[in-house]
Amino acid sequence: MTRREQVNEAILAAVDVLNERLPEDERVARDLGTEVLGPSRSVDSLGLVELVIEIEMAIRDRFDVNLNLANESALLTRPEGTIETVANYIDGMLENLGK
Amino acid sequence: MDYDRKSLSEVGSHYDSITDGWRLILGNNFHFGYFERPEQDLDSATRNLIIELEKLGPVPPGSSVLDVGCGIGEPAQILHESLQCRVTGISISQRGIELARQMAHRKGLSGVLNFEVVDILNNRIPSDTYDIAWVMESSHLMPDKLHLTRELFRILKPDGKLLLCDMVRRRDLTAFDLIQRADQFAAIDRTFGKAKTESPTFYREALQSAGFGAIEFRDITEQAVPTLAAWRRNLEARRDEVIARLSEPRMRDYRDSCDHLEDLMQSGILGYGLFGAAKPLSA
Repeated sequence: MTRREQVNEAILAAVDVLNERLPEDERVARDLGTEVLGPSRSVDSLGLVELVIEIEMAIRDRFDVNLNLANESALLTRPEGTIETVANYIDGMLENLGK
Repeated sequence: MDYDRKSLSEVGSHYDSITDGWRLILGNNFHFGYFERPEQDLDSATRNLIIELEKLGPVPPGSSVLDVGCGIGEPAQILHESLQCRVTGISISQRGIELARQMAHRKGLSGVLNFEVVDILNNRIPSDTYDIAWVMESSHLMPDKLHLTRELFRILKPDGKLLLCDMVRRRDLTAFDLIQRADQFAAIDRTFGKAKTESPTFYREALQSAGFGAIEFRDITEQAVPTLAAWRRNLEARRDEVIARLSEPRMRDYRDSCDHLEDLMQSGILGYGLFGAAKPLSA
């Protein structure tokens, strides 16, 4: 499995963990195209915080590295962005870390 | 500040539980004030907001008014006393309606001020009934504002006016804002109920799509912000009474929420606006 595939898997696993806590009608679609950053994001503020934490944990489990995504303003201030956007960004971070 | 449909009934329960404690902090008007100067007293500033909103109509004397989210009836009373309006106040808070009815009875106004527990998003009000739809600071608690504007259009008579004021979102929140300010939003939701603020552009488009014309918007953020300091002063002055009515954690949440809202308004994220719109004569 490539690094990028592992990142995708980690993020979708984080979505699964978040969805377990959310009511059915508030769950986040398990799809790389799901909007999570822009105004049409499908998750509220607390859900977004939880999703970011879950992604950080999933990345740590798979790559043995601690990313602090909550402070990544270059990613999180984008006017829009899907799960795939987040995956691309994390993939770049891991590459810079030599992972 | 995102918001789901099912939480509407929670809003009613929330207001039932806090109404008595809030009167100690907000006075009889459960809304922001319009401060002509920061040191102005809260009661006259909240009355000013009613006057400023009325000016956007203006409200013709003797109008029939539907007050949506009527609090404990103070704006209805002011509209009657100043303009002889006949007002029907509706709210989803049982406790608020109970206090509004007591006020009307005490003042001998039960014939002209009528208060009912009704959800505007699920009502049986006949079409073309009111001259004025008056919506003070309740729209942010309604998840489906497109449905709200359609219902307000329906219940107004042709040439009727909608007058609405509320918190507005002055810029889109990035994911970074949401994460960094998640604690602020959580405290505000706990204090004021789960809300969804929208931009002036969103309101304008929702009003247009419902059929309204002559849409006006006035940003009064600067005049509204001093309300938060006034609430904090009342809270500190009546701290023990507030704790007795609300509990200590709720008192702290309220105080913190005043700080958070002030910060969000001064950071240009949230603001306060007045909207006026008219139902065309031909509708």
